[in-house]
Amino acid sequence: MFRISKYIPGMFHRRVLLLAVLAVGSFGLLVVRLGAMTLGEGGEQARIDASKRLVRTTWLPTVRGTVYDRKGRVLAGDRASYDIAVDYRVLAGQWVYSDRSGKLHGIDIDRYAARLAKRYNDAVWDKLEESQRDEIIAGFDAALRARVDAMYQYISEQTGTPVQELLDRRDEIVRRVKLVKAEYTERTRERELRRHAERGHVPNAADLDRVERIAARPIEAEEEAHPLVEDVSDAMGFAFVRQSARSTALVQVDGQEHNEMHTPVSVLPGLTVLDATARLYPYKTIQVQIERSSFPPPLQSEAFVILEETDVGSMILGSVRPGIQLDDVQRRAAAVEGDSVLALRSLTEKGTDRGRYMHGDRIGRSGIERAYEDQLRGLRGVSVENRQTGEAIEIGSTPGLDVQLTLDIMLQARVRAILDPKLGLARVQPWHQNEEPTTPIGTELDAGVIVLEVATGEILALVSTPVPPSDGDWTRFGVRTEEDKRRFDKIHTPFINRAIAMPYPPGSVAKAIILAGAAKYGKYTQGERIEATGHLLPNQPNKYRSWIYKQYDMTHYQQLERHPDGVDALMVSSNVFFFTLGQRLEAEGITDIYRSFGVGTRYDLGIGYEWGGSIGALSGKSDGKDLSHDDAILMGIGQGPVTWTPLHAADAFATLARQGVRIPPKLVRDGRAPKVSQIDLPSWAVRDALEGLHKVVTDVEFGTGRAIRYEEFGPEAVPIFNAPGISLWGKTGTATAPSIVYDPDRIGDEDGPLEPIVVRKGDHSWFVTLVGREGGSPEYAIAVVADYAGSGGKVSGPINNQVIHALIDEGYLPDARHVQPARNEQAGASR
Amino acid sequence: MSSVSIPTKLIRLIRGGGRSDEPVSRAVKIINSGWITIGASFLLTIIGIYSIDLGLNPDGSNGLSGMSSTATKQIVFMVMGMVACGVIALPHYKLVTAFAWLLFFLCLGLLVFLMIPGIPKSIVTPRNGARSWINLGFTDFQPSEVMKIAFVLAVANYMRFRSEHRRFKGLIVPGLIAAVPVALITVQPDLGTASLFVPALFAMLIAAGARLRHLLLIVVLAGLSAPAVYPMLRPHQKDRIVGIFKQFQGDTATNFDINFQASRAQMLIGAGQATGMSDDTTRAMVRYNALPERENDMIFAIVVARFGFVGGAGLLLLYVVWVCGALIVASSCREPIGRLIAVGIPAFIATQVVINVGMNIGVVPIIGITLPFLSAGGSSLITSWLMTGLIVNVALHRPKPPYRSSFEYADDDHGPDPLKPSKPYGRSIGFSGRAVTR
Repeated sequence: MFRISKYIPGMFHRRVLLLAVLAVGSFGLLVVRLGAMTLGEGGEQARIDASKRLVRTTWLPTVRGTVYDRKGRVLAGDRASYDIAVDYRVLAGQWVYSDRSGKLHGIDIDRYAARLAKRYNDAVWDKLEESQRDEIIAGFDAALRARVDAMYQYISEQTGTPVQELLDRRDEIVRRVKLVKAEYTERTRERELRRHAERGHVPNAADLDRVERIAARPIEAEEEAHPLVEDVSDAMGFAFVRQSARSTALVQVDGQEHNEMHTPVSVLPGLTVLDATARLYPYKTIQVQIERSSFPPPLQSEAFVILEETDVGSMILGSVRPGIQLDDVQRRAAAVEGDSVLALRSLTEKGTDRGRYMHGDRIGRSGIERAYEDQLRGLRGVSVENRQTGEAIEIGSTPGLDVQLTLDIMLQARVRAILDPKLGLARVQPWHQNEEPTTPIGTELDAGVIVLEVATGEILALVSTPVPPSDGDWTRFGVRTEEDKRRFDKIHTPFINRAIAMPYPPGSVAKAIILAGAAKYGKYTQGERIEATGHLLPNQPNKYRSWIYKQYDMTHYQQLERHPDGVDALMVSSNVFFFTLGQRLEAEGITDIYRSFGVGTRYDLGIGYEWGGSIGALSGKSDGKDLSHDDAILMGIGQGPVTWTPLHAADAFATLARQGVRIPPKLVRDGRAPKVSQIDLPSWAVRDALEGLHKVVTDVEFGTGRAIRYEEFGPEAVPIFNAPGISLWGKTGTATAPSIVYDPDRIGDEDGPLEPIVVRKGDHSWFVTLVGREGGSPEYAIAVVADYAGSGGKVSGPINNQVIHALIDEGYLPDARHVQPARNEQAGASR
Repeated sequence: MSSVSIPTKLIRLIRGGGRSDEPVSRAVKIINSGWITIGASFLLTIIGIYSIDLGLNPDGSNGLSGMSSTATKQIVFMVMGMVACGVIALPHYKLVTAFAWLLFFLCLGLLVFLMIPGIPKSIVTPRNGARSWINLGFTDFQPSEVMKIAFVLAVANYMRFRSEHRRFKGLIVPGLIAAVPVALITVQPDLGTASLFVPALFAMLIAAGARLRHLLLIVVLAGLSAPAVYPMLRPHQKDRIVGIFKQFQGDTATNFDINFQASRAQMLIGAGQATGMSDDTTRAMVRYNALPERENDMIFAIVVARFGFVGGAGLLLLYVVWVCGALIVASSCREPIGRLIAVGIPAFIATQVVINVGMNIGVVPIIGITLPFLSAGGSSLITSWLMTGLIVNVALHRPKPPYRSSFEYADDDHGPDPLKPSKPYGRSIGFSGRAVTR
C-alpha cells in the first residue's frame, strides 16, 4: 500500500503538500472554467455581445408608399413630418435621466447636481467640508442648467424659432398640464374621499395621507414629451434624432477639468423627435356635381346638385393603425422569409430586416393598405457608428413602394353619388312597381356597382352601399341604438362589399353566357328556334314558366309571332328558351359554362373578403356534382343553386365582348402580365349573344331593357339609356332572392319571446351592360345590382344609365353633347 | 547601548539579537525561495498597473505621462510596497512576531474605532456603505488589510509551542482569535475581507497538525447551518446569492439588475477568447460595456479581455508560483513561527485570488474583494507587498535557537498520545541548535 509518510516522513511537510495540492487544485478549477468561457462558442458569442456595445445603431425613419389611382391622383400618402418635443419634466424645470432599460426618470436639477458632483469627485468627496461640497454642487447645478439653456438655443438655431417663443410655448405647455393635473388631483381626491364616505368610514390621518398620495400621482402628460416645434422636415428631424442620442461628461465645471470617462450627461436633456407623419387620404371626401337632366322623368331637374361623398374608396383603400402586435411581427418575418425579392430588398448584410416593425409604427389594417403592406412599408435607414473609431456608416432609408390602382377615384365618387339615396335612384320609387311590403316607397336601396375596362380587365369603379362610416357615426343611417344597429347590420350588411363579396343569384343576366356556352357544347345551333310555349313542361303549366306567361298569360311566340332564336330569346328574356338549353346542357354542361366564366373562383383583388361564386351548395366545391337535372334547368335562367357577384357579371360580359378571351379583373397595376385564357366559344354564338344584348336595350318593340313607362308622365315609354353617341349592349335581371328574417330579441345564442320578422323579401335587381363608342365595340362592362329592389330594368337600368353618363363625364367615352350647339355650355361644364 | 553603532544594531536586528560574532552573511540565506515570491509579486504588480490603465484610460497611454491617474498612483504604491517589503524582510521574524499581539490588538482597536458612531466623516469615510477606511490625510488606510498580517502573526505566535489544537476543544482559542476580527470586519460591512480569515486559520491549523476530521466536522456543520444564516443577510447580499443561482440557470433577465456586474465581467472575459484583444479594442470594450469596479474587484476581467485565456491562465500560474514559493519557504523552515507565517500568508493570498477570480468568472457571488497585487488601492497593494516581505523574511533568516520541534506528530489523525511529539525534530533547547539540526 502506498504510504506517503514513507516518502515524506515529516507530518508538517505532508500537510504543506496537502495545502499546495488544495491551492493548485482550486486554481486548476478556475482555469478549467476560464477555458470554458473563453475558448469555443461561448467566447465567440461573448466577443459578439461585447462588440455590440462598441457600435451605436440609430434607425432612421422612412415613409410609407403612396397609393395612386389610375390617373395618378394620390389616394393615400404619407406626409413626413416630425415634431421636436421635450419631456415635460425638463419643460417644468427638472432634469431627466434614463435608467438601464431606457426609461426616463425626473429629478430636481439641484439633486441631480449633487449626485453628479459626488460621482465626479468620488475620490475626495468624503474628505471635503460641507461648504466645499456645496460650492462644487453649485457648479454642477449651473452646468446642468447651462445644458438646458443650450438645448433651447440649439432648437432655436436649427428651427429658426426665436428662443423667447420656445420659452413661451414651454410656459404654455406647463400651464396647460398643470391645469389638467390640478383637475385630476381634485377629482381623484373627491373620488377617494367619496369611497370612504360610501363605506361609512371616517378617514384618519393615515387615510388622508394616502388619499393625497394617490391624488398626487403623476398623470401621463407629466411623463411624456410635448412638441415645442411641430412639423419639421425630414433632414431636420434626422439631425435632431442623431443629436438627441448624444451624451457627454461634464468636462468643464466651474473651471474644473473632469475626465471624460465620468457619468455622461445628455446633451439635449429630455429632447425627443416625435414622428408626426400622417397618413393622408386626400380623396376620402369628394364633392360631386350631378346634373339630373338625364335622370328618369320623375327625378329629372335642370338644376344640378352637389353631393359630398365621404369615405370614397375607403373599403378598397382600407386604413392603417398604430399598435404593433406579435402577429404583425411574425407575419412580417414569414413574409420576408418566404419572398426572396422582399428579402433582397429588406435585409441588411447582417440579416436584419430594415422593414421590421418597431414601436410606434403603423400597419395596414384593411384593404389595399393591408394587402400591399410589405410593398407600401418603407425600409428604415440605419446609422452605425463605431464608438471606438468614431467611424460611421449610414444607409439611407428607402421609402415604401408605391401602389397604383386601376380605380378612377372621381368615377368612383360619381358612382357613389349615383347610389346616394338623396338622388332618388337608389330609393324605392312608384314606377318601380315594387309591391313588397318590406320595401315601401322611399326605402333606401343597397347596391353594388362594378365598372370594368373590357380590353384590360381593369376595374375603374367598385362601389358598394351603404359604406360603413370611418368616423363611426352611424346616425346618418338613422342608427341610434344597439337594436337599430343590429337591425341595420342584418338588413344592409354594410361591412360586406356588395360588388365583390355578396352572393347573388345571376338571374336573367346569365342568359347571354348560357347562349354562347350552349353553342360551344352544340346544344344550340346557329339560327335554331326553340318553341316558346309559356312553360317548359307541357303538362305542368305552373313549373318552369316564362315571365310573360306568368305575368300576362301569353307566350313569346304570341309576342314575337315566331318562335325565338337565340337573339330573340335574349331580347325578350325568354325563360322557356333558356330552360330548354339548361335541360339540354344538363348539370355537367351548365356547370362548365358557369365555371368557364369565372363562377367558383375568387379574383383575389387583395382588398379583403371576396365571394368566389358558387355552383350547387353554397359551401360545396362548386364542381356541379351535387346538381340535379332540375337544378340544371333552373340554372339556364340564372336561378337555382348558382351565385355570383357583380364583379363576376361584369367579367362574364367583358369576356363575351372579347370573344371568349378571359382576362381576370384586377384592381392594382402591379406590372405583371395578366393570366389570359380563352373560352372556345363559336364566333357566331358570341355575335348572336351580343346582338341579343344590343336588342335588349335598343329594340323599341321588344327590348326588355330599353324603356320604362312612367304612368304619371304619360303613356309613352321613356328610354332607360339616353347618353348620345354610344353603342350599348345589356341585359336585365330580376333574380329571386331568399328573404331576410330578423329576430329582434335574439342576441347571440339568447332568444327572447318576440317572433322573427321578415324584413326584406322579393327580387334583386340586375342590369349589366357593355358600352362603347357609337359604331365601335364594347369598351366598358358595367354591372349594377340593387338588393330587393325588384325589376332589373326599372331600378338598376336608370342607375346603369347614370354610370354611363359618369364614364362620359370622366372622359372614358366621347361626350356627344358637346357637339350639340344648343347645349347649355355651363351645364356641360358642370359634369 | 549608545556605544553600539547603527550598522551593528542593524546586524543584530537581522540576526535576531544575540551576541554571536557570526557574520551577517552566515546568519541569512541570500539564495532562498523567497525570491520566487518577489519575482511573482513584481510581475503581478506590473500587470495590475497596466490593467488599471486599460480600464480607466480610454485613449491609451503614451508612456507614463498619459496614464490614468489611478495607474500612476498605483506605481507610487508599488514603490512604497516594495520599500515596505524590504523593511519588513530584514529584521528577523522572531523580532517581528514579538510585536504580534501588540499589532493584533492595535488593529482590533482600529477596527473598533471604525465602528464608533459620531466619528467625523473626515476621519472615517464610508465608501459604498462600508466603514472600512481611516483618512490619514495623504491617503486612506484600511485596518482590515493590516489585520490580515497581524492575524497571521498572532495565530503563529499563539500556536508555536502548543499542540492543544490537536484536540477539538483546543480549536476554540484559535477560533476566537479569528472570530473577533471577522466579526468586526463583517459589521463594517466588508464580507470579502472577513471571508479570508477562516480559510487562512484552517490552513495554519492544518499545517500545525490539527486533526483533519475535526476541521472537516466544522466545515460540515458550517455548511449545514448556512441556510439558517441566509435570512440574516442584507437584501443586497441575498440578491447576489440569488443572482448567481439565476446565472447557473441561464436566466439572462437579471443581467440588467442584480447580475449586471457579474454578467458584464463574464462577457468581457469571454470576449478575450484564447489570446485576447488589442490594447485599443480592450480599452473601448471595457469603456462601452461599462464594467463596474473595473480597476478594483473586476480587474481580472480586464486582464483576460486583453490577453485572453492564455493571459488569464498565466496570471493564475503566477499566483500559483507565488503561493508555492511561499509554501517552499515554509517547508524549508524548521521553526514553528516561520512555518506558520509562511503557510498563513499564502493561504490569505490564495483564498483571496480564488474568491476574486471566482467572482469574475461567475462561480462565487459578488462580495467585494480585491485581487492581490493587481487591484487599484494603496492598502491592498502595500499589504500584499508586506506579505511578500514576511515570506522573504522567513526565507532569509536561519532559525535562531532556542526552538522546539515543529508540529511533527506520529500520525496525522490516529496517534496514541496526540499531545506528545513522535520524535524530536530539532532540539527543544540548546545553545547551537542550528549546528545539530542541520
